[in-house]
Amino acid sequence: MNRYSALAWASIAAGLAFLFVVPLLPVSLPYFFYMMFWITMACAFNIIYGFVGYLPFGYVMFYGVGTYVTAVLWSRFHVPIPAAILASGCIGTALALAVAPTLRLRGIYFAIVNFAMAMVLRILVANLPFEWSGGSFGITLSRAYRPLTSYYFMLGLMVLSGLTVLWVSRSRLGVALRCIRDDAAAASVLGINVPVNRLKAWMIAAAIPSVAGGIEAWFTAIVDPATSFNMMVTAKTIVYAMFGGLGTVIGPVFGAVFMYGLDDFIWGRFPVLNLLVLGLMIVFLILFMPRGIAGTALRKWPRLRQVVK
Amino acid sequence: MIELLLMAVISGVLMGIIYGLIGIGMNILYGVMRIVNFAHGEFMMLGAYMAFTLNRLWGLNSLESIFVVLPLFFILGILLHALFYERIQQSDDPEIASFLTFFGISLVITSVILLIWKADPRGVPFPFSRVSWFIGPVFLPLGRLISAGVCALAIGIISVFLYRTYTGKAVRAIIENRDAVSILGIDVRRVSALVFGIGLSIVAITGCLVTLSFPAITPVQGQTYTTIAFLVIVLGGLGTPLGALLGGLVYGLAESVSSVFMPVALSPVVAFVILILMVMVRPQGLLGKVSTRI
Repeated sequence: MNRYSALAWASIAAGLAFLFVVPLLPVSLPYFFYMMFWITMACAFNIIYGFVGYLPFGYVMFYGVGTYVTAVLWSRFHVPIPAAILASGCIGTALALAVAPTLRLRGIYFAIVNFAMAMVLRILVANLPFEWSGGSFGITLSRAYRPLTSYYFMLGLMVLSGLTVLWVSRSRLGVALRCIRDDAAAASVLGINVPVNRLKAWMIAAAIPSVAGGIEAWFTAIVDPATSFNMMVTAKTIVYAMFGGLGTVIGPVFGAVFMYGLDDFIWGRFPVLNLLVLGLMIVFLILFMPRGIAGTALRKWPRLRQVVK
Repeated sequence: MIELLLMAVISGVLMGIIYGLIGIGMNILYGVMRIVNFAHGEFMMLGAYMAFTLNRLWGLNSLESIFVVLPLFFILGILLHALFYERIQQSDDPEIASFLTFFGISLVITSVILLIWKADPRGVPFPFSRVSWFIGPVFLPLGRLISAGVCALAIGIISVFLYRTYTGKAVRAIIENRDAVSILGIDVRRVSALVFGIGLSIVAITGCLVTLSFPAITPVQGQTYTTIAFLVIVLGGLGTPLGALLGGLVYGLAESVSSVFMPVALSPVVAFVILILMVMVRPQGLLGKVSTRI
């Protein structure tokens, strides 16, 4: 471990310690809750797009299913919240398994089909029987409202997903995934089981946002189809992860912290311009900085490799 | 029941022709430049709002405003080409890069529409004295009939351009094989710029026609049209310009006939299920020849 990685670990530890004591400080709890939420989303998205190169343009569906499973289980079947959140993760992963055949598609086809699936799910959820999902009004969970506990749940999930990305990146799985991204045919010639490795990444990348959705539903105590299946969740996840640097471990974390801060700042002052700025940001990122902050830094200073990767 | 079905079929065919033109606009860009225009619907809405303003300012009706909006959109297309073409072609994966870039542009357009025209639904007054005709028991909405007519005319002109002119031949050649074409001395850049202009001109036509076929427009409708365009071109074959017409007809019929048997709210589900099945079973589309990379 050289001094760069020591510094990186020290700053991560300091950041976590700060997040741990945030509820005691006179700062906005929702702000830090959502910061952790977006870090989690960006990290999980990184696993499937950054490492394997599949762009799930309907990524919001796992989050949306997560919110609804927790809300429905708690409000209609009186399942305790932690168990409901766990169930969210399981059902989200099961959904990923069910749509796994789409992984045969590549590039734009996969993105479009995934997007279409998210639209189908939104329409289906909005048209579920009213007693189940409350139609377009959604479900309120106000009797389960525990902002502090859900905050720490989110902190736990964020740490877990960070560690997952770190593990994926440094394990054989990560090597295999990067090979698949760069050239699937060559990877398979080298003896990498492409479908199995791809499926592993896909299920991990689905489980995390599903659990995050469950915790977020608990934190806001309200769930409705328009918010749960909002395209903007996908869009922001992509932008935050890309800004930091896809395919690196630390990039999406950094991207989410920075861009969420910026987004919140703009949103607070100019609500309509928020969309405009987000759009311009996306265009700028894709055209001028497709590798993100971490990727660009990596090109310039390759010695940073052990810190960001 | 028979009348209901007959009406559904007629309405499906009319809408199918309109959807077909919407798809052609997106497909020609994809075919020539591998650009996935995710802002297609938002550009349409921009055209529709311009038609609305032209109506307010000079009293132009939806059809007349095409003559103003179309040249503006042609220039817009050339500008977009100049701004983004090079960068997108240089990136690692041009399709995904263009997809995300145009997604960003779609957000920009939506917010510009919100800033200029606000979020209220707007409409252009219907220019004709009769709203519909009855032929026997069958009801014919005049607005859609005229829109479908204009679209059919536009599709005819595009077909003549693609199959009877020299430049059109170059466009088809680029779709067939980009690299070979540039070796043969065709200026791919210039043809691409032209195609971008044509693509957006088609968007202008469909945008203005939206105000004729539907009573109200809102800023957030764009996404619906983008999805329809996707569906239509995936059905017809990505990169097969006229395949979009077939895709449009299939989609229009599926949408209107399914709404006879099930709640209207669920008819998009039918469409998406068709899309998903289509991509899984035959990703090259009904008419497509190009095989996908695995």
